[in-house]
Amino acid sequence: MKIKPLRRYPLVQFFLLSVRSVVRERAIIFWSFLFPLGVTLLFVTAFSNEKAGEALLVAISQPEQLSPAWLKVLNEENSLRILATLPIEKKDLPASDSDVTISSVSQLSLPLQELFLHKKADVLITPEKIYSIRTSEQFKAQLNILLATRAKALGESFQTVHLNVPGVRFSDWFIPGMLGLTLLSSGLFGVAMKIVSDREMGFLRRLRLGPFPRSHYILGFALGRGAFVLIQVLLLTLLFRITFGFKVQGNFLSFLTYAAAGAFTMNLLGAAIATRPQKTETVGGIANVFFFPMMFMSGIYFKTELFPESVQKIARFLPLTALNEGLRAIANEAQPLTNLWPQFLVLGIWSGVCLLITTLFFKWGESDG
Amino acid sequence: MTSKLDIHSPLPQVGSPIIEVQDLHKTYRKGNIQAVKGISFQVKAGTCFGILGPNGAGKSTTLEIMQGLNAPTSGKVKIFGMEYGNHEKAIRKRIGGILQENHLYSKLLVCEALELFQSFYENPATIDEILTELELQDLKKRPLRQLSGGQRQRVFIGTALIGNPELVFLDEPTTGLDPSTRQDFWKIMIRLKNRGKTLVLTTHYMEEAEALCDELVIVNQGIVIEKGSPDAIIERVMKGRELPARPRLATLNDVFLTLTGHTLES
Repeated sequence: MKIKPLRRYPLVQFFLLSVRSVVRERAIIFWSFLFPLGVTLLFVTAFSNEKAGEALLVAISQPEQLSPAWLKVLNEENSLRILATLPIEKKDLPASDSDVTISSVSQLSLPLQELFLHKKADVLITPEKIYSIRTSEQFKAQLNILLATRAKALGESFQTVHLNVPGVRFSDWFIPGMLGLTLLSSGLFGVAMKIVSDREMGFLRRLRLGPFPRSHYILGFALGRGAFVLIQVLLLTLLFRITFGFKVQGNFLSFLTYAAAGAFTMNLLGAAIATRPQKTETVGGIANVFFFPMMFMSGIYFKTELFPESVQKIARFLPLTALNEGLRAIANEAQPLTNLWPQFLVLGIWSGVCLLITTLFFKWGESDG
Repeated sequence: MTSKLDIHSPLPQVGSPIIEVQDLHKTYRKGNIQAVKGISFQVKAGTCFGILGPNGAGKSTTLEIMQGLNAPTSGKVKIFGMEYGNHEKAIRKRIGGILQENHLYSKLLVCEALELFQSFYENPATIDEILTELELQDLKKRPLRQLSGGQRQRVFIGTALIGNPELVFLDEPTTGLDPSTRQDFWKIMIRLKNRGKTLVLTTHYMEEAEALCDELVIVNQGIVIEKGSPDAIIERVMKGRELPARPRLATLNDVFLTLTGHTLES
């Protein structure tokens, strides 16, 4: 049997068409790379919890078990402000061998999230250890002063603590979400708008005259966009590395693979919402119905843990939540892909449903026969 | 010179019906508009068949139904003896067409656009064959947005021909083109007909229908008001009628061509 060259398959041609229609638009450079970078810069600057020149807010758990000398120093030290003394149960504290434990917010128990996020504590001091979520240079200096003070009070020797705990800063938490949002907007606005614009201009009706398997158009398009956004993720990760020192702690190939799976799902979601609308204005509205709830519920700007339990239950099944959780798990916690099967399951279900909707209800033109 | 674009056996014999349209009706639900009200005709293989009529006559709707892009409210359309319902793919393998409004991504190169449509077919023509047929060889690597209206329309024709179809549908292919380009277009159509292809076109240019069509129907308000060869129709309709006075034999068409020559395209 004679094998056709790859370029002679409609799937490959639609893939190429999709890639060409993106890379030949100059404005894409701005919207795909500089815009996400700018937004990240804005949010990291606004929410990175760096409070220059302010006293450290300290929460103390079980003060009665602290040494009196240490407690006295804490109460008298000008650079500290005692926020509260409150009981935190041992089970709610992150396990660690070191004296000072810096954790990412997503890894914390709810009582600690409440403490660090709502009550804005910088440090939690227990009789055994010190806990925080902050890693800035200024904080490192303040922490070392605190530790030196404790050593002096307890008559212990003191060694400077070098905080080098990547994956726990606000930027480390924010960037994977930003990448997830980029993939979502590529699917909802890139794929959906393009399909409806092709329908509006009559290109889809023209395609319909050809005897090719109809699914090739959608799959080729979704794969083409997927390939582009993978390059986008790759370059953005590099840009974030340069600008914010963001580093994927886990396997980078796993990170890209997971991003590819997410891109594929988001592109199919875009295709599904573009199955019937005739006008780009209509599909823009429909895209927003999906975009805004996910943007707020899936942990881009706000942590899902902050929502009521009922909302959290819904958020757990949103594709962007699964995508963000997976990206953060690989980037910040160095999780392997095999640990992400629940997230893969959510993405897989969404992909399957969207593909089914698209295949069953796709309309090629205004007066399909 | 033979080309892959030539039609060979075992195709229907020239003169045998390739399209049969029987009592076609189409009512659009939106606005309850009756666009087609019982149209019937046959198209013979190897001929050029024209559907003429003013705007809104129902000619594009009829053509869309023949291409399987629009479903009739009632009536039948058989292409190569088959109906779209069960034989859509078999029919589509053997037809090509351009629509009234055509759109392709404007930054695609000519060869890329043709390659896209080429991939839909099992036994297509080569891109070079199409470019030669349509005299577009020099524009192979040119983006579509840099082409003139006539050149772009030829590329669209190329996308219709690349599957090496036996039957080609052309919905108002020369609308918006200047007279010189339109005449170049006619030459291409005549060449295609000589290669054995069956052409079905809609137009509202009478001189175009006269120059190209072997048979035609004139459609008005959704019904066929006249059918036959152009000569036969003229003979039948104009017989015994007073011809309008012609103060001059030349037309503005001729004036434009004389003044501009055939260089407008270049």
